[in-house]
Amino acid sequence: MDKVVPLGEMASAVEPRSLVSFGGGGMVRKPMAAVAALALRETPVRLAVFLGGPDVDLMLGAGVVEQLQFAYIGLDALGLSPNFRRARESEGLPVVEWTEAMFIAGVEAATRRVPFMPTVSGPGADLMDVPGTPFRRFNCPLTGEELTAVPAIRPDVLFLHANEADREGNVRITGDGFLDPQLARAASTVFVTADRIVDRIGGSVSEHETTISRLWVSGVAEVPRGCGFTASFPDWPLDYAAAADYVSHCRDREWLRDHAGALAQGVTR
Amino acid sequence: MTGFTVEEQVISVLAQIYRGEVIAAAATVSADIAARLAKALYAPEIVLMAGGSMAGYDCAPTAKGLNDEWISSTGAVRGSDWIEAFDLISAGKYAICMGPVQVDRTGSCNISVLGDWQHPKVAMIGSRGIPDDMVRLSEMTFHVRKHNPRALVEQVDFRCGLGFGPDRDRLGLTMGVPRMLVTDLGVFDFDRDGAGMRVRSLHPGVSFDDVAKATGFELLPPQGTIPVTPPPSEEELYWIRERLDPLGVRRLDSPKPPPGLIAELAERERSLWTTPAGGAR
Repeated sequence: MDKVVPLGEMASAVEPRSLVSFGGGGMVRKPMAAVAALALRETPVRLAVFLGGPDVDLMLGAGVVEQLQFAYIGLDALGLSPNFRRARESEGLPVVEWTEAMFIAGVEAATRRVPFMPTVSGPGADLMDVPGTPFRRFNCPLTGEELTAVPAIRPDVLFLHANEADREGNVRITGDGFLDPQLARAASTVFVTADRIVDRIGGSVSEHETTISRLWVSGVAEVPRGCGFTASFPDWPLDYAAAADYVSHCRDREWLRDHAGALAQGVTR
Repeated sequence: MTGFTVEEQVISVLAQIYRGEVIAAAATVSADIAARLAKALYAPEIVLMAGGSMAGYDCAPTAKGLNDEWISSTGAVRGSDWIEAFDLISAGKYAICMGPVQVDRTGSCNISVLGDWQHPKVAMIGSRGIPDDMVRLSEMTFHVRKHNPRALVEQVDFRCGLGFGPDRDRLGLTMGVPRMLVTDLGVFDFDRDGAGMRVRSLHPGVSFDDVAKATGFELLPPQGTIPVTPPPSEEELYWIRERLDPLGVRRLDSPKPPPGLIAELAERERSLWTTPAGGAR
């Protein structure tokens, strides 16, 4: 079954107000070309991103995010996320702040098709007590131990960038896989951009690599350096010059629209 | 201070926290180099990650760069993932040094927001894994790069990690206690009953008055003479300067990093890469 689709079709498959997630983490292997294509549609969506970076920053800068769930948003060595700051500090963006272990548990609840997952994380953290928190303390029905219930995170659409995919949708990630394999099992629709598309991923897979079966994948598009300036081991180290350029201009809506336009066309600098 | 920089002093202190068969995790550049130094000199049993990448566990103590995966991945024993990372944290098999933006007198810490959470003055990065670390790890270490009243505060604006005191006792939390704080001025720890922060040692040339002025709350009074932090040894300085950080990435942690340092390091670190890069094969 051939799953190769154009990037533009992936973006237009996202319904208004759906829950969208992105793979990678921080400044690593972010699906920037897909993010840009989605941002340019100007369709409001909700986001749930484990470790957000320029992906979330670009969506916020484009003004298309209705609500954001996250465990981290930042540009790592390049500092805080400028558009996240603006959205939180002056635009009243509704957010749900998770811990990393709680976010993982929420995704695992979705992969197992249960409504919540228990965690030991929670006590002593102020994020348990902020208005609108979805987390609840409860006593384990078996042992009585006090635990935290975190709701399932079920993305309608997940975008991720990989080093390689095949026409049938098998995916190979070299380097840190982050939560991509779990998110792929939690999401209803999974779109993958890959540096290269081959007829069939074969041969031996290294212990250091992450693979995702075509059983979880809806569509693949060949987008060389679809990660933009973020790092994707071993082909693309983080481009610090381009990232610094982004940081100094990304609050400018005109600049950001041009930047997104170039990214969605496959231009990375 | 002569003969070594404050970053080298901090790295030397932090190299003492990584011991035993655990993942040596670091959230600041100095702590990262300190973990490598511990592995090289004191604790060969610790497990280093390839620059924090889950794809490379159990690396050799290679030189620090910016794209560390390109430098240290070739020496990794195996790959891992984020599920195992939190399984290891749940099992207490982690030693972590993090870099909070705020630390208060009880040892609570904050990396999420400045000001009110709903209407933040500064939206920082979110609570990340700190609340997870504090319920399962035996202890945590803090590294604050610049000791000043904005970083060392009476009470944190948002609690990501809970210090000592009645709240911790009421919740019955025994794990994840803040064991030590290292700053550019000295080494500190926290009273177990939440009474406040103590000076354990001061870096050479720093007085108690200097620290008192730079701290946004009253320090616990010193008992007797405050020791001077032991300076880094010649062997440590050799390893830091020649082997683990020949490019001087540690300068990113200095109180005033030189302008353009990241760009300079990004250019020079290519000489350290053991994995070729530059385009899909």
